[in-house]
Amino acid sequence: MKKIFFPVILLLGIIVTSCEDFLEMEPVSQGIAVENTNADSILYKTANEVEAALAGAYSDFKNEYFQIDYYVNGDAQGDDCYAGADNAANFQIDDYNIDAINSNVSRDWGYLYSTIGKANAVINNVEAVSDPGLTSQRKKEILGEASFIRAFMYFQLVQLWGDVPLQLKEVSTISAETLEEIYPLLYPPRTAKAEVYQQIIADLEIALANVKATAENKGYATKGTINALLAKVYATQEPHDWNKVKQYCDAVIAGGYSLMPNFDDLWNNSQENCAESIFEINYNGGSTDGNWGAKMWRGTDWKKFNIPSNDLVKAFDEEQDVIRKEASIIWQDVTGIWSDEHWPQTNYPFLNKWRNFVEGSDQNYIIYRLADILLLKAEALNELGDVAGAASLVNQIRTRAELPNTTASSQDAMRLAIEKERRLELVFEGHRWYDLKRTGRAIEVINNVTGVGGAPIGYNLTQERLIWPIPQSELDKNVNLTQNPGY
Amino acid sequence: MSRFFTLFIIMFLSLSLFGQDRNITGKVTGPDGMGLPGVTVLVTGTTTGTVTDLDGFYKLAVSQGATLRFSYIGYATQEVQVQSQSTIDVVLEEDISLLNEVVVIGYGTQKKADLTTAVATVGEEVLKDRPIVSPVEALQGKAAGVQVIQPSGKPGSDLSVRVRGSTSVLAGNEPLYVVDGVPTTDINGLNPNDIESMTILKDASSAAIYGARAANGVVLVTTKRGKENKPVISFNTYFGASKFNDSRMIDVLNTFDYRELINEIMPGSLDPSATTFGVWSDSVFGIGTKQSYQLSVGGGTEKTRYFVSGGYLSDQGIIEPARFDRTSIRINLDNDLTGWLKIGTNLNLIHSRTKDTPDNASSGRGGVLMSTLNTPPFLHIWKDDSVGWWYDPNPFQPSWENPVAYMDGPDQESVDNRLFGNITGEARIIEGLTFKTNFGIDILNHQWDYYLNGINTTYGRNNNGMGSSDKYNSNTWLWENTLNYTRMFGKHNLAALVGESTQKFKGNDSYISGNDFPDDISVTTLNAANSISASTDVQQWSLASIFGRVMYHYNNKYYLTASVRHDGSSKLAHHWGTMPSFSAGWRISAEPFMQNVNFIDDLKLRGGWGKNGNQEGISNYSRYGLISYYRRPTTNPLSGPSAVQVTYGNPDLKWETTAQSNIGFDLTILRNRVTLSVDAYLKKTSDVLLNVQLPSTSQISFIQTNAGDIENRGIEFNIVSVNLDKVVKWNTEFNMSFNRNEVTALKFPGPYYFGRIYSNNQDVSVVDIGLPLGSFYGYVSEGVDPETGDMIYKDINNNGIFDSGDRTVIGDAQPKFTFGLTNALSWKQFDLNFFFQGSVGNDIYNATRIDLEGMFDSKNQSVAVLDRWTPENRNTDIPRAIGKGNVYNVYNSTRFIEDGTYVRLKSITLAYRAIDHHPKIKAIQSLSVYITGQNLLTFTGYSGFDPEVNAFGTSATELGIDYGTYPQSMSLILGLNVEF
Repeated sequence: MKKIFFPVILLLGIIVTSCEDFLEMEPVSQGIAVENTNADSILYKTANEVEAALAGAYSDFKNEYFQIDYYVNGDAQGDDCYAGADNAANFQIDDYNIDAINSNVSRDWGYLYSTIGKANAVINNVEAVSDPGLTSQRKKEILGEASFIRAFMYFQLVQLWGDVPLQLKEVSTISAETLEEIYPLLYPPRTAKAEVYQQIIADLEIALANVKATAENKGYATKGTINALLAKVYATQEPHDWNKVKQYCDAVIAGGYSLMPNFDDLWNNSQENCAESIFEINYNGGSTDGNWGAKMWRGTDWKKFNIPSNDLVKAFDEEQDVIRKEASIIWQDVTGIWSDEHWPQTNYPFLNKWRNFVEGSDQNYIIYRLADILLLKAEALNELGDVAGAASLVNQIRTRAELPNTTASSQDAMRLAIEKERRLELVFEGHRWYDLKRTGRAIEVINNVTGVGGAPIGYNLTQERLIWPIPQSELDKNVNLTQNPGY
Repeated sequence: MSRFFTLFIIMFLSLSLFGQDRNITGKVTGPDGMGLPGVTVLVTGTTTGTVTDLDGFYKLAVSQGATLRFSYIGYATQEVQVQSQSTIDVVLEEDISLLNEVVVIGYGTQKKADLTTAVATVGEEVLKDRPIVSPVEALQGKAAGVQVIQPSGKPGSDLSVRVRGSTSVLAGNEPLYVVDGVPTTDINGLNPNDIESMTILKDASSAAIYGARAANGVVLVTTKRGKENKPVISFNTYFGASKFNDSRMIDVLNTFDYRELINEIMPGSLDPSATTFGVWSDSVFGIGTKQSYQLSVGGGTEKTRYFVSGGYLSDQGIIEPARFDRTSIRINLDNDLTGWLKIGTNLNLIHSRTKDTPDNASSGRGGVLMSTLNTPPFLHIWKDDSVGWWYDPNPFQPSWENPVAYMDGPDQESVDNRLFGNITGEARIIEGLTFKTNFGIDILNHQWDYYLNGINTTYGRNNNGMGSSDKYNSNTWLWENTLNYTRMFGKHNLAALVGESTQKFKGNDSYISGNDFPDDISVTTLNAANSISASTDVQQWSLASIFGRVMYHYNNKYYLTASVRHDGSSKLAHHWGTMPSFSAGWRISAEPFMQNVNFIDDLKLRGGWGKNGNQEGISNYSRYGLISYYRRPTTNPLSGPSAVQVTYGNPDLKWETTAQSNIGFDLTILRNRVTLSVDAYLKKTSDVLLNVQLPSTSQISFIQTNAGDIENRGIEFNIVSVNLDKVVKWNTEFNMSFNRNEVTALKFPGPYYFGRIYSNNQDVSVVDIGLPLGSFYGYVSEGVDPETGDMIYKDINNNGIFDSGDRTVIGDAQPKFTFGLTNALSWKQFDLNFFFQGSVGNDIYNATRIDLEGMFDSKNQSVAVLDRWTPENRNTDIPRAIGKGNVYNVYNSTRFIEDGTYVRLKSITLAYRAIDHHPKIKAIQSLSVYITGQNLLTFTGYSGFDPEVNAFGTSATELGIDYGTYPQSMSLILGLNVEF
């Protein structure tokens, strides 16, 4: 009897083994995206799921691109800052010497498309959500907000690289059956920038129709944000459509924003989401929602990025612009800590607009504010022939900075006046490089930049170097991409 | 009538002319007096012969003066001359030679003589007298076809084992380790003193019985068991010291030359008062120590046998604070409950502590080795004039600490507790039919704690103290049942096996990190952190299989084995795969026509084919598209975290299978003095699991899929020879392996790039069709341009300009061959054993030199840059001091490809057997002392610290890359082995 016991154990074992359930293991700590490979399967079933996905897309406004690279690309790449720190990739960007293996270039490409992918998933799947908890009103708002996010990212891409692949559909499963049809999505060619702009505008128009007028805080897309972005898009896309620029600037101005009477109040963190701010990335601080980018610009623990340039300080001094210079730049003694050829150790400048730079700070970043739109409208008016109208707007800004009215009276002079005003008003906010490029002034301005004691630095910016190379690693992975000329 | 009579006389005479042939009969017995069936009885010089029957009797017609030869496998051959006797009885003595050795194979044992498959063994004699920390070290150079690399010299670090080349990219290349019947992937914690033998199953048919997970070979580890005798108490201890081989140190610039360099790169940026000089490597490299104490007792009665051991090992590295301490206890019991029922248990409890020295990183990212070389020579360890104790900050980049800060700054330790063991039961149901059940567990508890105070380092001050803690628990259980039947029908021998196996794993991990600690730096736990974030994660997998095997042999001459295994894995979308195999063997030397070839004692030809599967290294839920959750500001009402899809689902995911064909022969000649094994194999791995990188325009930029085919082909030789056998005994064992590895297909268009080099942000390893894994990719350097001082890279694509199309395959990390040579000499009571191991023809990519010769920022450089290009020194091969982060002169290129060929005297041991079963000394059975030197000599042309390192650890695609990796050290160890 005892001996028969054992083959019984063997039988039990075989039964356990052949039980299919034994091999079905589903993840415990992560969710499953798609239950099956059916192309039209539901990606988001509940309202909370699609809201969480939208939140995932919004959270990319706090990634490395927006914490540091946005300002390196806008300010250090311009004539307002030196690269600072000791990072080879940043030096290349500062010196217009970028090669295709630059690590900032490849990571920025990756970040932007990653966000576009998240936005695509929401845009393409929000309609199919059948949860009654999600009203059709909210569905439209979600569609609008995701469209804004996509358009914002494509706007960054097209400004930095020119022609870029246009990804409008997301891929959630790759299998042998679906491979044929998704292959072009995986290996897309570059689309001409004119077409990309069309898509950006189309997305923004959907967004404009659907987003709310005001939101919980200025980190979410509202009608004001969309209008501001549309104005900028029309001012950047060639040929510039100044009528549209004016139209959208007016829409922003009508949205109830107003200039802060005291320029420093924008930066001294006394009021977050103030009346002048249109689009502001809100950080709550702490280890999970802290702004770690702010300490890239300030502090004496290591040599910082984006050092204010001699040329910038000269521009402030020539204008006798005390208010904005003091609000924007702070001077400290770094003797014994580091040194370089730009500034003396005893009186070393740091950018001063992002002032809360402790670990896990709650420093917000203002992306769009009213002053920017007013100056943009001034530019539009000037281009449409209304020099006086432009002057009055410029003077609004100058008065706030306690400066006398502008003396420019001709269209050409007003152009330069506006350019100078934009520089001094919006310095360190990531605009300078893009402003120089869209006005066609980049090569002339950069190649005449001066350094210590007014001596020319001798940058050699060429037409080809106005846009970035496609990252080499991307060219290696996707043979359908071609490189930009000159790289 | 008369014609007929003449014929008759002629016939009679003819018969007489053949001599007096007569029948000889007799019985052949073994040493125990029992008749031996199947013994070959041959008349030497003829083909006349016969074979003994079941009781050992034979009958043969022979002529006078002939010689009869009696031969049987496992017994010494005897020859007897036929005189006038008609009965010749022979007693054969057992032959204690290699062929009789019993080898552990999958789910059983087999005599070495009966093997039809490619198997290598490493026995106890390799393990004793060699003070090794991990049992895997014992495999290095000891078995043909098994390449063991130690990618890091850090105590307690993993070794990389490749059996017959790399078959996989993602799914893991390490063999499966089966310890006393329980499969596991990690034997580093096992105490080598507990091991009786290790068998490596190299080819498909031997490993096929472990089908699932056996594509990379299987290493069977058997621990010591008690024998039926009075208790044997054994005490082993050793103590030794190790240090870095100073002749391999890399020299860097002194302060004067460093200042000159910085003035060229960044004029005016260095404080003129910084003139002191120190050599950082003096503060970093120290003396390491190793010690081990082991006590074991083994013994038993007829019914019960036991083996109990306990040991403590401590290995402190040459660069602090790296160390590995292990305490282990083992209990192995066997009990014969009744005549037909046996139970047994193996239990191993391991407690280990590890401290780490960060390496494989640049000096800006905490790598101690790179920091030793790159930190400016005028800095001190401590800044003298500070509030409290600060490490001297680097004026160019205060966040780049000096190497001592990276070593001693943080408090960190990981503690592992592991319970590994099994319970077995064996029942003999009827004669020849045995049922065996095996229940095994592997419970691991891992804890890692880290604290960086807010005073000493810049990073610590910025965070006001930082801490992390990781707790990981895992639990694996295994249950196997097998039914085994053996039967002999005359000369036919049959052994059949059928069984099933199930295994399940569950692990959970908690990770907490925090910062902003109180000023009291003695409080290091995370409850004191003002800012905290935490996360937990649960993982599971399961495996199930059914298998069967039939082994047949006829008279120890013809062998045939066939097995099949049906495996299922939870990780794959297509769970099940079937892995068949078969092998055959032919003992040529037992054939009659070979009986007169005297110098050949044994010649066996064997061959086989089989399939094995692999899915080890892929993540547990690869077939699903997964969503990860990230914290976001809370909404009102609460609605959960933000969600992002982070992997693509793959509903096609299936087993990676390797089909291997093997043919080989084993030859023993010159009265068992020389044994030669030669094997040739072809391994084709299909459906290779790869992380295919997709362009970043897709929101998820990689997919895990079966996307390629890899082929390995090679030849292995193993020779064992008894050179001298008298007063001085001398044995040599030599093995050599040639393997050629090639990627033969890729489903998604390649090439794929791996091996990102930090300083120039380029990938140096490439995977593409027609190339072996571990190929290097980059530019071809043509020296320095005397006009500009910059590097010239060859224009491969002939378009007249320098661009990315000028990159090509520039090297191969796979060796042409590897070898191991062991010599064991013995004279009276002295034993001398020395072991060489080497690898020939492999390239190394010396990425450390990029940070040492790049001259693109403020890092200190090696003395090679003293010869850099300047307008006064135009003809040189070191380019100019370029600065400004410009890495053009250090792009991945042939400039940094070096020959990694090396031969290493891995160990040399001199032992003195003071007492060896001396009749007068009863208390002590044996006592020996020994002195061992490890890694004493390394012959290589490689200029880096160590030719065996790999900054990417045990990766299959990133091989042979040196980037500030912790090197191996030389050691001298004294040891004592006593047996009571």
